[in-house]
Amino acid sequence: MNLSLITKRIVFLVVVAGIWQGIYALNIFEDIIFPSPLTVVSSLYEGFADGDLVTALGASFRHLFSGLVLAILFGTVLGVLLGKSREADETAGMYLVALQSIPSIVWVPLAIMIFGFSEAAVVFVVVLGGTFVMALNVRSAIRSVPPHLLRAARTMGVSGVSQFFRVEIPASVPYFMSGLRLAWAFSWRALMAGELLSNGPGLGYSLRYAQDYARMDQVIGIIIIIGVIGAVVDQLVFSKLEKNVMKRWGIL
Amino acid sequence: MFLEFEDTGKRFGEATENEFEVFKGVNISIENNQFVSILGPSGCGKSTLLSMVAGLEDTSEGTIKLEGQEITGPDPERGMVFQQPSLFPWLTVRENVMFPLKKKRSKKEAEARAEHFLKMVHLSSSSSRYTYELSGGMQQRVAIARALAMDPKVLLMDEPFGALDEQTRHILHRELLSIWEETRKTILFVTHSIQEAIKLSDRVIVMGTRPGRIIADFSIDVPRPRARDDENVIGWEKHVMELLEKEIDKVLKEELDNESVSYN
Ligand SMILES: Nc1ncnc2c1ncn2[C@@H]1O[C@H](COP(=O)(O)OP(=O)(O)O)[C@@H](O)[C@H]1O
Ligand SMILES: [Mg+2]
Repeated sequence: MNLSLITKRIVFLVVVAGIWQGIYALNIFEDIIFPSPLTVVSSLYEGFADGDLVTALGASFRHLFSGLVLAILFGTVLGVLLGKSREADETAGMYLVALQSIPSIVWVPLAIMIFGFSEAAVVFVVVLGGTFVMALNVRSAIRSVPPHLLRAARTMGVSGVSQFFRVEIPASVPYFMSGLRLAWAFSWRALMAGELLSNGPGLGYSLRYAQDYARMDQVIGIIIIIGVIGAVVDQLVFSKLEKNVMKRWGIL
Repeated sequence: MFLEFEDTGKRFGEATENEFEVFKGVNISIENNQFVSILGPSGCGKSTLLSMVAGLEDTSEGTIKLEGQEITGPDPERGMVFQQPSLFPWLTVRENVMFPLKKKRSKKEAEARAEHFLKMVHLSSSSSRYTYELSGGMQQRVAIARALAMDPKVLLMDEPFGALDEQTRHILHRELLSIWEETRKTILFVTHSIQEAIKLSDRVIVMGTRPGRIIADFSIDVPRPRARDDENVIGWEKHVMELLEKEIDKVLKEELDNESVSYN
């Protein structure tokens, strides 16, 4: 990234904050629904200083990590099954698409009824959020292994199980990485839905707590944290990983 | 005979309404250590025939035998180089060449073999690179080294230089001939280029199309290296050209007919 781009982005942020401050100074809205940018920053600072936000972040990442790991596991198994077996795919593939289209928040009542107001309920929602999109991507990954690679492997005496491990799995890695990135994005959204309706701890819970106490400064602050984490993880981890893999696999 | 086609035929979509016969009644005997080209217009079934020797396609009729053994499936005794290099992008050049040797030889032995054949195709300095870093010609050389590393009895090549530029193709012709002289592997080389077939081969088998069949079979007894302007070479090229013109006309005419049908 060149310097002028960074400068442009910083200037943009400063301008937005300036406009925000300007509107605040006009005193059209009550402070309680329209805090100044400085109040938001200081409430964020407070949250981190007294450890509340740190605890919440820690809990959120714990839920996300366990949920995402399970989602990747289940999604991969499901996806390989559907990708390899025409029969399984014809029977169940359609339902997978249907399940994937269900918004995560819909699973929350179900999760609460099964697991009560517990962290397990949150993890459950995260798992459901990531599994289906992972499965769909793994399915296409397995299906899009170039046939000429499989033919080449067969002429070298590599077929069956050893072909699956030595050719199909490595050849699937690029789409698998896309699946990973999407599973993360979906799980992150599901996490917030689950935590918002949970009894804490977690970032989503802190958000609702702030709402209950009419702390707009905290609400905005937490929304900003959620957005920043989403963007940073996607850009610094998953997009980068995916790009590197695509390049090496000759797809980019 | 080393490699023998007996009344070999191929149909796709057998016992369905789109059954399509690519060729039938192919009889060829190929001697060991020969460089044989199969030449023909596109669509005449060259790739299909070669895939059958590789064991990737089964035979609908007749048999193909290698050293008396009927071919029923793929086997490392028959190495194949495709028009697309078909290398594994997650492996380095060296690992690609070692791919067929895994489990069959010790790692050390496999590495040594890979180095040996990479040297033969003049790529030892690139053995740690990944395939996306290589040009098309270099990738095809790796594919050749990979096939040779299995020590196959016969090397099958399906338009291996078809996607390369003229100059690279020239260089690879030279390399392939020197590899062949060094290893004396039997090579079955598919091409649609008359020049390429005559420049390289001991024997050129010409296929016609619709229906696919063998229309001629020549031994090219011009000493190598064969210069482009050698009058014997030019003579052969002319002769084969005349032979193939009729076949190519036939393809064009049928395509035009189909076209006019679809416009009516
Ligand atoms: N898997 C297949 N199913 C049906 N038809 C095929 C298949 N593979 C090739 N063909 C047909 O067989 C004919 C010969 O194909 P091919 O062997 O690729 O020709 P060539 O290599 O000489 O250009 C073509 O008409 C092609 O459409
Ligand atoms: Mg072909």
